Amino acid sequence: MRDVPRLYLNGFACTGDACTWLSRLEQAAARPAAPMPPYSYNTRRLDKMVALSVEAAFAALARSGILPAEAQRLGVVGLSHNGPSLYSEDFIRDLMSQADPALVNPMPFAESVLNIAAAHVSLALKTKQPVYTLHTDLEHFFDMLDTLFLLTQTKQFDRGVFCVCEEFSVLGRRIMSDCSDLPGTRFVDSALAVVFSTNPGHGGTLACLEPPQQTADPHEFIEQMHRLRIPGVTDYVWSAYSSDPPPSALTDQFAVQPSFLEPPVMDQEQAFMVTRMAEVLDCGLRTAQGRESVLIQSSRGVFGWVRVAQ
Amino acid sequence: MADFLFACWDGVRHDAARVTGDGKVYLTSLGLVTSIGANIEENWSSLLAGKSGVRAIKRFDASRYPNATCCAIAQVPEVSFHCAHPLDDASRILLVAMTEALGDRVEERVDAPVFLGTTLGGMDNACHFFRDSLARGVTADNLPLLKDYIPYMQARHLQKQFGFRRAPQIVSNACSSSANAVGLAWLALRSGRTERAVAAGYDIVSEFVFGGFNALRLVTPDVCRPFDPERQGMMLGDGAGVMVLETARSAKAAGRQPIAELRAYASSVEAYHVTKPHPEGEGAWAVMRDCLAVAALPPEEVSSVNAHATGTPQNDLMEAKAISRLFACNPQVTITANKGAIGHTLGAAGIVEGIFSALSIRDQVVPPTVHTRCALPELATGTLVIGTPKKDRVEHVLSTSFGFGGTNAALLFSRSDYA
Repeated sequence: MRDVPRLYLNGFACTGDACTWLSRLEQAAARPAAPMPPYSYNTRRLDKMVALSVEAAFAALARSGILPAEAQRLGVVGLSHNGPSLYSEDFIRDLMSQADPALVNPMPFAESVLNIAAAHVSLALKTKQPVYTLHTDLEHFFDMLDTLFLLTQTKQFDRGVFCVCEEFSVLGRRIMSDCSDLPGTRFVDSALAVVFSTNPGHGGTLACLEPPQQTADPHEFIEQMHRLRIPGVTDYVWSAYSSDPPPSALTDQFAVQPSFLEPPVMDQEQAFMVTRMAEVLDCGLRTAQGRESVLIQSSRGVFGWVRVAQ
Repeated sequence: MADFLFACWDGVRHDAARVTGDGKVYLTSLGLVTSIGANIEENWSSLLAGKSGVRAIKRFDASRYPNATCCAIAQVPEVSFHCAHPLDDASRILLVAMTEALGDRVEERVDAPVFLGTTLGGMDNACHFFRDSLARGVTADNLPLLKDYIPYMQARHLQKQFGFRRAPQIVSNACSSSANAVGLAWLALRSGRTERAVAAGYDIVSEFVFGGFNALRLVTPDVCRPFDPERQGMMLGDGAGVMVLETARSAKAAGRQPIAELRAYASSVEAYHVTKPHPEGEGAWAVMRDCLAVAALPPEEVSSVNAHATGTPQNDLMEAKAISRLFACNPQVTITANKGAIGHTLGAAGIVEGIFSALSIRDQVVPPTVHTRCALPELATGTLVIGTPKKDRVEHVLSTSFGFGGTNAALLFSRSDYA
């Protein structure tokens, strides 16, 4: 076993337009329904991506067995490419069409700063721990994980929620399709929240991350995760919200049939962009220039990358 | 002192043990572009002279706003950079500040990790795109304006221009963005990951942000008067700042004399409201307290506070309460704020004001709070520096940044004991 820092992933959840896909996948794998999170927060007026992030964070916390009182001690790290571009666009359009700027509604402006998703997650959790919002392009997802390691290694927090969220307004689609060389790609609005800890004794461990500099590319990273099987962690502490048995293995790789995707997509080139988890992690795929990738499965759900069977 | 530190160690939050490693971190080189100067020394002499960068907005048509001024850079410098489309102003000032900080020693710094803070990235170009596309539709002419909208484009420009081997890490924590970028660089150095790091921050005044703060009724109809009882609001400003940070070993090996030590950093959120600060300054007090706890420095040892002080009624009141509470034991502390001179540079504010804090230590002088006529009564401790600079013994300067989302950060700069 190598002596490298690790982050233990206790739970995750996805929300967004591709939700049906995950439900079908979980149904097909005969997984129990996710527990109801004991959290509440009014997301009615929030930008869509922000609301998705809060909901994903709640669900991930519930799956990790973290009660609201404990959540106040969590750090929050948000990551987004486009940020809350729906509200940004709303505000810009309103600003430019109103003759009198005093009549412009300020709400979309205040709710469109890049760190707004992490801000609302921290408000919802009532945490006072450090909160960071990181930003990256499509090719540097793993650099952002490196920052996550820096924050935990330097004890800014030892447990937290990592929220990756994205939405695609007109502006966002234009940027992605015309400026990022992804023409013809279909994008969906989504959020992924992962609860992580530096302590393997915190809750049920689904997977383990090592610093990205330990890996040459995402495929190697995934292989490491596959091999690791959490050394020294054999007794899983399960959530009060779940009666799941412990997973028999940390990860399994399998192929996803195109029909699992919602909506069904036959074009391999587009597959990762229509699945929300893969989409939010698509940076990894692109770094490896992968046309295939891996879905990491546990009894709690799915985390990772998708390979589309031909 | 022991009682103070004990009070800080509440078992959850920052303390000295949170940061691994015990190596000191030094500022060895700086770069700065704001409305009052195109380099470090120009900015510093303008600030000490009490100059202000307030001028009419030219970047967009601001004639329909009650106050069509801001602290804009009069002439955004030209930079030699090869790309398919004209560089946006945000990229340009960032490149200029980086050029000053790296000087002719680019080669030895390309391996350094870069931490970049911004609130809005290239939003100015998005505004131009929308204005044009609303009038004429999306065309091949206006579509390239979107190229610089997302902040990683400015990061890419940096990487391309200076050859940084690693992509910059971008942190966007609203108005505390660059303070946190500096903090991440400090953490990377303290943890032993690197011997040298570069931190930067930038933002420019776009119609988006100008209209936004006007819609929130936070922009002053007059000028920005931090901590003044008659302050009426904030004024936005352009700015970009860069710090090169190094360990003692790296600085010594290169024969560089440190400007100051970056002694501590703390960050937290106050979980109160997305846009409003806690009225009693609880979050501001906590992050300043945490920063001093990381440094194991009691409040009575702090020479000066470079306050966030936006000039808005709410921010300055809560900050005055927080400063008065933490430094009640230190009536000798001097307080200054820079936003009367340079405006609120948003994501760049933390690093720009951190640079002024470091220069304050270098030259043993505290700059005046430009446009402020007297201190509000809630600032019940220390001396707010007004009118002329105050020559003083400046050992430790605490610089604060507070942002939307309740995200707060503090940096502590100290006189270098490097020999």
